[in-house]
Amino acid sequence: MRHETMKNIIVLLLFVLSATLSGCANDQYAIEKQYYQAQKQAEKIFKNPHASPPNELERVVNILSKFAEKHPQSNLAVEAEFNIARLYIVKEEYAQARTQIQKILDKYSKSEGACSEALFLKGNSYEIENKWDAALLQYKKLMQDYPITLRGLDTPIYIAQHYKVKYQPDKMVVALQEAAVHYQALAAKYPKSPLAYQSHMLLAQCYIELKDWQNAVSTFSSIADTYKDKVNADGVLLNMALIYNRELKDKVKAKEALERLSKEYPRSRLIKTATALLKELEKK
Amino acid sequence: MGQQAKAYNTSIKSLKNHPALFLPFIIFAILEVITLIIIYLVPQMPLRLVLGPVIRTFWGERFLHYPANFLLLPKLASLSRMGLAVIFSSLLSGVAVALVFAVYNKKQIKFKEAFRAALKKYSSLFIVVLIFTLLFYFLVRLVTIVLVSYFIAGHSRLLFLKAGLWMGPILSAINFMLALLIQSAFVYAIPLLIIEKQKLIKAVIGSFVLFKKLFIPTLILVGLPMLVYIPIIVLNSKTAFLIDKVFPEFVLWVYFFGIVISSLLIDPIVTVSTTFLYLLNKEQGIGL
Repeated sequence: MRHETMKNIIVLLLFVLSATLSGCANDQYAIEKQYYQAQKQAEKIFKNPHASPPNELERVVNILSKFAEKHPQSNLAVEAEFNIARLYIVKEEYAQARTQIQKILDKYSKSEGACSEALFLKGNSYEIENKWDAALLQYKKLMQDYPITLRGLDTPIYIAQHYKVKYQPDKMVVALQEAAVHYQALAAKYPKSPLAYQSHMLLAQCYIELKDWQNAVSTFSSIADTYKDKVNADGVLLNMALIYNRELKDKVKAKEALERLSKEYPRSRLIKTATALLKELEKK
Repeated sequence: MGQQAKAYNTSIKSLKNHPALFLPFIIFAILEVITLIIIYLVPQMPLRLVLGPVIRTFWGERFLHYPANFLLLPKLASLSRMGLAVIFSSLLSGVAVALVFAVYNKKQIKFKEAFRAALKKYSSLFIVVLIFTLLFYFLVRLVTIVLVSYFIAGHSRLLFLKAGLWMGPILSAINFMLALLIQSAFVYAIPLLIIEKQKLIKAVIGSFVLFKKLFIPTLILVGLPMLVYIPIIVLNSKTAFLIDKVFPEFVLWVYFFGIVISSLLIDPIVTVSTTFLYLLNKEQGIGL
C-alpha cells in the first residue's frame, strides 16, 4: 500500500515537472520561446533566400502571423510583423513587403517608434529595387513625420552616406548641408534636452564629413560646455584635440582641450590616450 | 600500477555487491538536479519574482529572457554546485567513506550509523570541503585574470601560441590539472576524519603527507575517472554555439548529463577507490 502511494506521488511529481519544463505557461518567457522558434524558421530563409523552397516563405509567414495574432500585446508581435516584411524583401516580393509595411503603419499608428522603423524599411525596399527617388521620398517623410525618433534622427546622415557610397560627392555635400540645417533646427527646438545633445553630436559628424573643421570644433566645444553636467564629454574633448592637432594644426588649442579633459575627467578611460597625446605635443 | 589496480578492483567489486554505497551520491545528484531545475525556471513565473532581481543585479536583464538564460545557466549551475558541495557533499562524502569502511571490515552496511558518524564530524568535513573548493575557485580565477591581463596589455601570443588557444583549450586543461591536484591533495582528509577520527588540521596535513607518499596512485585514481568529464567541459565551453546550432535546451541536457557523470560515476569511483587505497596501505603499515 505504502509502495503504491509512493509510486503515485512519484508519477504526479514527474507529470508536474514535465509540464513545468515543457513551458506550458503563457508568461513572457513562454512567448519569447515561441518567438525564438518562429524566428529560427525565418532565419533559414534569410540565410539563403534563393535556395529556400517556394512554399517555405508562405509557411514561415503564416507562423509569424499567427504568433502576432496570438500575442498582440507583446513587443515581439511587432517584431514578428516586421520580419514578415523583411522576408518578403529578401525574397524580392517588394509589393507584398510594402503591403505588409502599410499594415504595420495602420496597426501601430500610435507608436512613433514602430512607424518610423516601418517607413525606413519601406525606403530600404525601394533602395534594394534601385529606386532611389522613391526611397528618398520615404526617408524625407520619415524625417518630417517622425523627426525625434531614433530612426528619424539617423536618416539625414543615412541619406548622405548613400551618396558617399555611390561616389556622388556633390549630392553628398548637399545632403550633409541639409542634414546640418535639420539638426540645428531640432537642437534649437528642444534646447538642452537629450534630443538636443544627440542632434549636436550628429551636427558635429556632418561638419566632420564636410571637412568643415572650424564648425566641427565649435560644435564640440558647445557640447562640452552645455552638457558637461549631464553627460561624459571626455570623448568630445578628445575629438576636439585631434581635430585641432591634425586638421587645424593648432597645437595650443589641442593642448588646451587635452588639459581640460584631464582636469574635468581624471578617471576617464581616455586619460592614457590624452596623456600620451599631450606628451607628443610637448615634444614637438 | 599494482596499488591502483587493487584499489579499483576492490572498489568495483564493492560497488557491485553493495549498491547501497551509491546512496550518498544519489542523494547529492538529486539535490543537484533540483537546483538545476530551479536555475532553469528562474526566468519563468513565479520564480522570476523572487530570483529575477538577483539575476538582474549581478548579471543583467538579458539573462531573464529566452534563450539568453541558457548562456548563464552553466555559470549558475557551477556556482550552485560549489555551494551544494560545501554544505551537502561534505556530509555525504563522510557517509560514503563510513559505508566503505563498513564494507572493508565486512560489516553490514547501515546508512543511519554511517550518517551519524559523518554528522559528528560535519563541521570538520564542511571546513575541509570549503577550503579546497575556495582554493580551486580562486586559483582558477587567478590564472584567468593573469592570462586576460597579459593579452589585454597588447600581447598577441604567449609561448608562440595565440590568445584564442590560451583562453580556450589551454585554460580548460590548466583548470582540469588544478582540479586534479587540489582534489588529490585533500582526498584523504575525509577518510582520516571519519575512519581515524582525527582532528581537522591533523587530517588535512595527514592528507598532504599521504598524497606525497602515494603520489602517482592517487593521481591515477582521481584523474582517470575525471577524464570521462572532459566532453562535458568541452560542451560547456561552447554554450553559445550549442544554443545557436543545436537548440537552447541542449545546454540544460548537457549539464544534466554532467551531473549524472560527475555525481553517479566519477565521485563514487574516486571516493570509494581512494578510501580503499588508504585502507589497503594502512593494512600494510604504510600510513602517517
